Amino acid sequence: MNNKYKNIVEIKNLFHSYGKFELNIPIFNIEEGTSIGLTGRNGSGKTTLMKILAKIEKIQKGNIKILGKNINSYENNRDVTYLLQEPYLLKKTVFENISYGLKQRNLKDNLNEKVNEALIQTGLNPEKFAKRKWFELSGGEAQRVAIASRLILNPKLILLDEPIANVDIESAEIIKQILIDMRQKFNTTLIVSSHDKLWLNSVTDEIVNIHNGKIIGKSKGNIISGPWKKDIDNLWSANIGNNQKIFATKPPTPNSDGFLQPTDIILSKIKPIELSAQNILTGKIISMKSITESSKLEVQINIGNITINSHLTTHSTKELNIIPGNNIWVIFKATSIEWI
Amino acid sequence: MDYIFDGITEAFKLLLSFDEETYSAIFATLQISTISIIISLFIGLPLGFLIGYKNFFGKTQIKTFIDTLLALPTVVVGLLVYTFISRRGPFGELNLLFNISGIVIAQIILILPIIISLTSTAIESLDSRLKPTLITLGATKKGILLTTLSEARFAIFAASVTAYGRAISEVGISMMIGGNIKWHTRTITTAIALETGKGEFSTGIALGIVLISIAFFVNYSLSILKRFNQ
Repeated sequence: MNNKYKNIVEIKNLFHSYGKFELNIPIFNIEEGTSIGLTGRNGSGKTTLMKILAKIEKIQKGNIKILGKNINSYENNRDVTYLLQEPYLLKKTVFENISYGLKQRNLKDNLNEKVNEALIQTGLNPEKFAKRKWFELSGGEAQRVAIASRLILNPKLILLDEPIANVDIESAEIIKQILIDMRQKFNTTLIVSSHDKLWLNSVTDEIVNIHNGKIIGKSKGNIISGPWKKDIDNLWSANIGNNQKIFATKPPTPNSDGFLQPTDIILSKIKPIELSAQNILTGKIISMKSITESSKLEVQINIGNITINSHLTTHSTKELNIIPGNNIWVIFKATSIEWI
Repeated sequence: MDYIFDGITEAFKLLLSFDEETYSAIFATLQISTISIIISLFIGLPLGFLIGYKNFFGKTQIKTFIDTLLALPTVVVGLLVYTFISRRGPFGELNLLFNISGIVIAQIILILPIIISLTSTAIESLDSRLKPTLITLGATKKGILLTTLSEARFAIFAASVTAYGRAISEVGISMMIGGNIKWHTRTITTAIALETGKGEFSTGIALGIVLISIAFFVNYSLSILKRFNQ
């Protein structure tokens, strides 16, 4: 990866509305080469934001710069590509679908090799798939062809809207690998939205939460891995070292991964007593940083052999009077752990 | 009932013996309809595309007007064109009446609404994800236009076949504008009308079979083309 650290996307005072919905982003910058996840409920504004960045929707108010240039100055921004929530394949062969963007750019040299390479990268056998028609593909295969047709363009920024919403587990894993490879090989900047928090965590550096058209925080969620063992009170537990256990409800399998929202965690300097929460753990604060666009702090705590992210308001932080290096009690309910 | 069987036998006799009069009518039909469809496609495809693709003031009214023209009776088109190209009409000097050019003009008026209407509906019915997909793949304006037409190709084929079918099977225009002149403007349909009028059912049936065979051949060729294009 290069170390330019320049912003590939700079959003200032973006305001976009239709009906009762309003997307309102005062400031949001994305560094080149990073991978940003977008989460939020349906209708929160994730897709609208992506469509604006991809120039599918015209910006109503505000200023957006992509690679330092105003988004409106591009007639057709070929450094940015967008994968729709439900990708559309042209009524053509797989080869023609993948080579379409290059042909539009008049880049017809070594087309066969490039298409074959894109197919291999997306886990599709060129001999088997290149000549297939659009209707001869499964949902996962069609998704991978749609990704290949964007991958081949070598974009600087790729926006992926729910790329694994309609695919099988195998395709989701392959798509994850493709995105990781793109970043490693080409330093591609990614903006990915997904409801699958574990998957999103594994492909992004940072997760941005959007709620009702506003960015309400940035964080990485906590993934808690098994193995899980049956424990007291019909609960299951995972050992995290230092004689501490995390309790959760029954996992789908003993090796399932659990997801814990940073906002579901309570911190306390003194050991709480008479509390219904099953998870009362002790750890050490390793870092504290403010979350832009919100008045919250992200506190990283080392507990046993894992690191947990927690969110605190600046007010609570002052009240708690904590600094990195302090020991702290980490409290959350067993039911706060969602199974992925 | 014998005359039906006689008609079928007569049809093969006329065709296999290369009967000049029959082939003259077949050739005139094919010539007129083919020229009409080619010119109509040149005018109708871009117009249909524009109406289907763009949103503009009065679009619904224009579409309703064009759809109304789909029901135009051939004799009404024939009458209108006749008044314009007859000796007393504004284009009388062009000598279009009782000529192939005159029939072509009237057939274009007849089938143009079919092509415009079906093409615009085909474009409107395209998947709403198509345009965003093309934009995100970096398509040029020309690329977006051509790919959109290509994505609607099956529906456009169907529009062309429907229009061609209307052109080869119409009788009102060919009769009124062409005048059913032997060796010149006599088409299969005007010949059928004439032969039936004379009581020559066999020749009428024979020509009817030829007309249906042409329609079948055109449709079959297009279905092969469609399969090849998939």
